[in-house]
Amino acid sequence: MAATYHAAFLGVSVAPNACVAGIFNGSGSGKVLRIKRIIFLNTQSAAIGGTLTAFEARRSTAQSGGSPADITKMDTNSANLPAQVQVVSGPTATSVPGLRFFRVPWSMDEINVSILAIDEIQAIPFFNIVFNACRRGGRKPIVLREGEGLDIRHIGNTSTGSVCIFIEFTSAGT
Amino acid sequence: MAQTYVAAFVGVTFGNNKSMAGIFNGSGSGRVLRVKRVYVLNNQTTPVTGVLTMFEVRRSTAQSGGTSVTPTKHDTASENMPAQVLTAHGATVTSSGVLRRFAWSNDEPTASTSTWDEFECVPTFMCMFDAATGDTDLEPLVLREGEGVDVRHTLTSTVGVVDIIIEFTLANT
Repeated sequence: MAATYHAAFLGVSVAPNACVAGIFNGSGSGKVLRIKRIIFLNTQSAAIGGTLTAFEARRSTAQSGGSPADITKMDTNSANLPAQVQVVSGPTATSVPGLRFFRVPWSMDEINVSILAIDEIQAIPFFNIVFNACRRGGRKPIVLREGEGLDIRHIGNTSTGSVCIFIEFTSAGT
Repeated sequence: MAQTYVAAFVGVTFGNNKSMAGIFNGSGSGRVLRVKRVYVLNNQTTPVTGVLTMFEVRRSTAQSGGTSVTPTKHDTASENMPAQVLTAHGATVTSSGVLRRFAWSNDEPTASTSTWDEFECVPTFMCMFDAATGDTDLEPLVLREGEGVDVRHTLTSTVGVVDIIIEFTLANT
């Protein structure tokens, strides 16, 4: 088993064409990161009148700034991530629009009790694993070598609302 | 195959910022716990006026008190849980490190409708933390001595109840 980490990007506000969650494996880390699963969740309880928008996951070639995400080791015996590995919300990321791993439509509206629209379905983890490289024999996860990253990007125009994103990944020497 | 247990925290009442289910591997147990899956289910039949609220699954570093729950062995030949392993709801827990945050309706489900409340009755949909993926490269949540897991209601509501099911294994290393 590889050292496994969960990154939680909690209540990240959206902005037009902006990276909401970024993982970047900087030069000199000595590690290879493998993205296994990405989960989006709608946890907004305040009424906001959100609109339908979309997110993309792209490969990135540079990343700077942002706010550190909440990273949890699955085993406390695992090493800390090298300083060159940056896991942050809201960074400035350089990614190629055409190199996308997925695109997902998303409602930025708040969720409500006792109804079931797309907003509420977005609150259920089972339905919102937007990328899954587990249990897929013969298929690689998203591999991030040194100088490579993952850019989870809001590609719409709205600035209303927030989203929680959870990324499960491993770190290994090769 | 590792010894496997289920801790079923049934009919736990909501409280403000309350640990709704906690498992803690105390010092001296001589064991390592591995949390595989966490289910949360809306299993209440009494009408209540529920609200939108929130849970988090977190790592913990201390746990005391609460109402104990005895884990069920998948195989009766498995050993009893060491006394240092605590399984309780309503415990005083020190936690940090968010593994999952999810919204929850604590309104009651009803027969013959299909809203969010009723979806919360379907176990397949309500596996809120799943480390039993079959991917041998991925670690589950490993609880060494002095470590635990806290399924916490993080907002303010004292309405309704919830069931929480945690599957975990117990091994020497």
